Amino acid sequence: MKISKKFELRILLIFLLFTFLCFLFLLINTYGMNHFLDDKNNLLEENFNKAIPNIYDCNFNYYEINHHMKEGGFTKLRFRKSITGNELCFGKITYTGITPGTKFSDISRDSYIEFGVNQKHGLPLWLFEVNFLMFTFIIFMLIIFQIFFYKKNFFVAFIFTILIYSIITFNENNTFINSSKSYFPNTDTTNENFMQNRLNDDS
Amino acid sequence: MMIVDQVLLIILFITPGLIITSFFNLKKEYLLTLCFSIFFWSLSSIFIPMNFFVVNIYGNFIIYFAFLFWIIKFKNFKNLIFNFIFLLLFENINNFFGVIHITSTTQITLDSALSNLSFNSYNPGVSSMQIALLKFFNKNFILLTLQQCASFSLLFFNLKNIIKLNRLKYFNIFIIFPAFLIIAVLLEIMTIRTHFFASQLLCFLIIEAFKLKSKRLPTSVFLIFLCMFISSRLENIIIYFPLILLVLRNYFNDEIIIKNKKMVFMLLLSTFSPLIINFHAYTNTQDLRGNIFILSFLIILLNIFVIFNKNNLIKFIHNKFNLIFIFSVILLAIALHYLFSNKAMNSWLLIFNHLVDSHQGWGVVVFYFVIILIYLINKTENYELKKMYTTFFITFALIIISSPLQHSSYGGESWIDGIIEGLAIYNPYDESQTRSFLQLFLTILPFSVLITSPKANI
Repeated sequence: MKISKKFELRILLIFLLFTFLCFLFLLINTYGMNHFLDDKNNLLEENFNKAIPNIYDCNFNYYEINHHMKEGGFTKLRFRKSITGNELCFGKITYTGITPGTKFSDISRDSYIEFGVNQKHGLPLWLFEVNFLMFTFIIFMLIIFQIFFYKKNFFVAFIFTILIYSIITFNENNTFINSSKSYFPNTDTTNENFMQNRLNDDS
Repeated sequence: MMIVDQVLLIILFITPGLIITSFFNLKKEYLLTLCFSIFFWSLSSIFIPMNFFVVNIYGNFIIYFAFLFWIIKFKNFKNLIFNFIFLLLFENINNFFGVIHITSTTQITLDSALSNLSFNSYNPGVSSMQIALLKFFNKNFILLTLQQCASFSLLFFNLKNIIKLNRLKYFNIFIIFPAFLIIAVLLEIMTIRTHFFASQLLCFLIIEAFKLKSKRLPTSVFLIFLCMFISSRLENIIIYFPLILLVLRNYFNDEIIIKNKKMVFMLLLSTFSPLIINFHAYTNTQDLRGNIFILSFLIILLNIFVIFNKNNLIKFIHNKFNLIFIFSVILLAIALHYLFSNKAMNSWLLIFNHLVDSHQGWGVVVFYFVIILIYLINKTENYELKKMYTTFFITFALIIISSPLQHSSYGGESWIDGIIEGLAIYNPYDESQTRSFLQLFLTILPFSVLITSPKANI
């Protein structure tokens, strides 16, 4: 049996969409959506307004701490994701490298600030990351458009979405996970510095 | 003074490539010159005396003399100038801005290169091609971007080929640009590791296999590239075995190879020589990639499949290729689960975590890969090409499913104990499979240009 080309693309995209929706359902089932729906975290607002919060017993989630720090003007944030089996700590912050209670005014905006965040094994933290969630939503819509308007080729729209998302997140991703340094450009890796650091003794 | 050092090093590196392109009468294929150079110099990890040409001043003079001879004899100045400027540009961009990504592999590769240059064969398990990339230095300068130059050169060659064969516009090339803004991809491209180069080698082989016979490059060139692809990464023959089978099957589809003794000999030479080229690397690698018995078995199987291409059993296997491949991957998954029980599941979920995470754009690359393949499968009318694209999907599954084999070798105590509580999701067990996935993605990337074609079928 020969499947027509239009039908073939639709089948493949419906299969992709179905898998994607099942996965999303699994994520919502595990992490919930409360972090978006709850207006404000009172503990964070009242006790740690413009300060590093005191993190214990998985009391803050990834989304609100990320939001809290970005509101404070910090851009060099790192979230180290690790696996946990503790259901109460899924999507929750576990530690920070800065002393709790430290005022934002006492920290340089260029500082490297690290947080630990827990996730369930096999289930990423997409639901806490606004940019990525928007990216997936646009992709989701494009897949639906492609299924319905199969005569048009939406591939360029997909690529354009990837381009925009990559540009927006480029600086955030262009950083080492364990320091404030950037991957590109990096003067440590110039030919002259490479010679000096790695070959001078050996050559 | 530094510019003189750069010029001398570049001439030293590209001279074999210039000579080989002239030898194969590929004067106009400037974009292949650097690939041939890498191939030539990769032999210096096994034929150790060859390092004399790099490390010794008299050896250098022999190469410079060969270079002068080549200029006088062939006068292919365009080829020389193009590649020379290309290398000079990349090296100086790196020297000013620092665009190379230095990883732990860089140091062990450098150690192997230094050992070779001292006429020893120390190799902790790095491909000869990778070692060759760090051999070109003198007291003032080192060439660091050879991998990037050769890979981009081959990427442009592949794109040019796809554009010309399908009568597309050169403007369509821009469709692949967003891939280079994804940090996960960019980081891999800018390392000393040869994944990017290997990806473009496989892309080259696929394009050649599906071209009309009249438009192909000489078979000897195809076989040199096949040899380069197999030897460019130690794991290539294992992970990309099904893709290589399909490539060879399509390339030799119309020929009765068994009757062509010369062709059989060339095929055997090109497929077995990577075992010799990477001999030191294979013998010093403790995992599956270094198992000479398995590697030899796969290569023999590969040759049987191609040489007896008109045999009914081989034809049957070819017809049901992806079905057999899927079945094999499922069997592998069952076997690994039986061998490692819960640890196998841990490995699969960990690599999945890594691949779909938003960090460095990994999730975006996976999506990009899937969407390219879906459109390509839909766009082509060629049944064999459609089969090939589907094989890419199954190879992706193979990369994930085979992860316990790598983790069991490099996962250390935490993998043996099966403890995952508190384990970081980024590179928990030195995950090189994720890089194999990037290689797969970069292989298919140039083909995405086809999707923008106004033609209904390509």
